[in-house]
Amino acid sequence: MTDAELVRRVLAGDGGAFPTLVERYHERCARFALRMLGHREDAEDAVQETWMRAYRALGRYHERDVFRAWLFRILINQCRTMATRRRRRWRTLVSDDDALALAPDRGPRPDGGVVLEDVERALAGIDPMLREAFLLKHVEQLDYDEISAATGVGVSALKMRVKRACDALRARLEGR
Amino acid sequence: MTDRQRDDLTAEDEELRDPLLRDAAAVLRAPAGLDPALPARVVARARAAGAPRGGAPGGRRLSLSPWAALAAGLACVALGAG
Repeated sequence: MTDAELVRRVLAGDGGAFPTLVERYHERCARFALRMLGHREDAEDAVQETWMRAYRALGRYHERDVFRAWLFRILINQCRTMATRRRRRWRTLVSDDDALALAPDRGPRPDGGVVLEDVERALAGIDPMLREAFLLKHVEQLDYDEISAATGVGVSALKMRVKRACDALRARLEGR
Repeated sequence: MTDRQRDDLTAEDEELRDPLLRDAAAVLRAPAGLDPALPARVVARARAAGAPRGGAPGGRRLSLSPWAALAAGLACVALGAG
């Protein structure tokens, strides 16, 4: 069943349709929020609020829009709001270059691969706008039109952000 | 930016060719591992909130153009004056 059909069913009062939508997209939302915010409780709050806002706004969802992009638009806004609201902690835990530089460096793995901890630390050190673009494009694998719909940023600017994110992430991973 | 630079950028962006970044993206696709009760909590909150609001099913909204709204407003005023 398509997302649009599920939305129609929710609006028609089908009690089983909304849980299906949640089941379909919850993990992706959780993953994006956690990678974006770098904090479990913030991510849980952002995801929960996203679903509630999406539920309340389902009547305004247009079938011509991709539901995934529509939902991510709400999620992105929630993550931005959360990051702004807790800016002090954000600076301390996520964007503090000095703190990141002081964090223990375990060096590259013998097999040359990367582990989640390394990648999360590298990701946390790059500009949030670049992080957002990288996650949407290369982790959530949205296409540029979807990302543009979700972020309100033009495709050319998004491509530039993804390119800069790749450069920044590569530099941090190579220096780990 | 020249057309050539734009083409290069597009090609580089469409897929991750760098194995390091490809591995990083794959690692980041691991499940988040947030509270497993979260989806059930969301559904329970939605049920408690009642039916969603904001328009007719399927995204079809009843709306008036600004001119139609103005005409309706003037009609109401005229009726009231009468």
